[in-house]
Amino acid sequence: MQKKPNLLKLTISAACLVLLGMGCGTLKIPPYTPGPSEQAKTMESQGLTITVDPVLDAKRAETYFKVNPVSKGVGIIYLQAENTSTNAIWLLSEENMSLAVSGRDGEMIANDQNVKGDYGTADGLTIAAIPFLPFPGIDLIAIPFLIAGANAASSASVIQKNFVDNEWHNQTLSPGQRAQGFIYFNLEKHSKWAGSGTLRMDCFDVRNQRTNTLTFPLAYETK
Amino acid sequence: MKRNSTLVNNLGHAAMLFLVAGMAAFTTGCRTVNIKVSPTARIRDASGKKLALSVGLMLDDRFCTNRFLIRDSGSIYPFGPTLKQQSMSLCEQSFERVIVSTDGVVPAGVDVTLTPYMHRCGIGLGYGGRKPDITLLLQWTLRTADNRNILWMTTVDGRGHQSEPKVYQLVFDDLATKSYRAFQESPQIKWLIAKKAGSATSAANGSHE
Repeated sequence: MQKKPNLLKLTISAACLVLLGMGCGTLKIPPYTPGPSEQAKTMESQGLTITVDPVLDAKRAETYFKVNPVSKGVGIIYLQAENTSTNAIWLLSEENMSLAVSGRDGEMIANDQNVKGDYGTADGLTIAAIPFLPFPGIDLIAIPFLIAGANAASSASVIQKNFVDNEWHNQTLSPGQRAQGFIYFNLEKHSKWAGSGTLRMDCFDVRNQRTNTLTFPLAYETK
Repeated sequence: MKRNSTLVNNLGHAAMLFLVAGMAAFTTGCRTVNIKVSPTARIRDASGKKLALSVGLMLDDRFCTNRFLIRDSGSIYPFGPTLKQQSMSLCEQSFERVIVSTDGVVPAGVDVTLTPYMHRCGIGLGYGGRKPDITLLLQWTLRTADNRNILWMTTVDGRGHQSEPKVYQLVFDDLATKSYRAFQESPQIKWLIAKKAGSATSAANGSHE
């Protein structure tokens, strides 16, 4: 006697897996509470006050960015600026900020600040499901991969968007104005930027047509 | 009876294949999103008063053809044409006179140039593509009439969290409102208007004397 495949069981299993996946929900990241931490460094020059605070604490990075910046190779620095001058208009643009990191191969300058990220494994998971597609009966094996893939893609996009939400806004600061935000640098994975890096900022006074260069040596220990 | 059960089996397998293939297409498929918003920039609480400046609006190819790709989902968001249309409409509602340049040539007879630049885009996809959460960072640079020296710069964020396609209208409404406010509140733009009015007054006084 031929054993009938239990189609109802298969359908219920598939539906359960889909529902399980739906229950995973969208990743939530709490908004950053404005303000630098205790380790922040402040510098004042020509009526421009800059505070720099690299995010080195793995817990802080995990809470507000959902990444391990060291293993992902991304430098995250909180920046606060205030124009305390009476007549200068300071332009602070990410294009004029760079991070010099000393390494085995000499000094490397990082100025790519568009954090696209590699935070999901969605491609790998969805591709893993493809070989199962042509085989009826074992299609169910593919479903968890597809669900996990979609969930990873969703989380990766939320993490990338959170970087944009917190990013420094390029702008000119008139006397009395202040602003804050995060700047990012794409680095090599496991780069020891916080221990040996130097942040350089070329701030331009658009009214008086002069440049004010501020350099912050970052001699921190990564926690 | 046996024939019927084979038929049911085959139908079951076909349904399962359809389900899995649909999910595969959903998760790996490449799609170009249709971004449809009102052609006129919608500014909330606009005063209706235009700033007394003649502006050269500099739109380059990079801006007008901007596309954002989400690698993991393979979705392409062609923001460029909408950004171009919205920038033109916004500036026409914000300034007394606007001359658009799309070829890099600075228009003659303008007081200043204004260049928009799509600085960054972030799109958080809800699980299963529900209610995308979008942030666009749009940078505005005001330069001297010869388009050389920067006078003022600001970056505004347009945000929206809603189901498609409504989310795009929300984002562009937010961008238009924040950009309009930034123009109105810019100390440099106020100073330029005062300077222009001052030189017009002194020229008028001079012609009377």
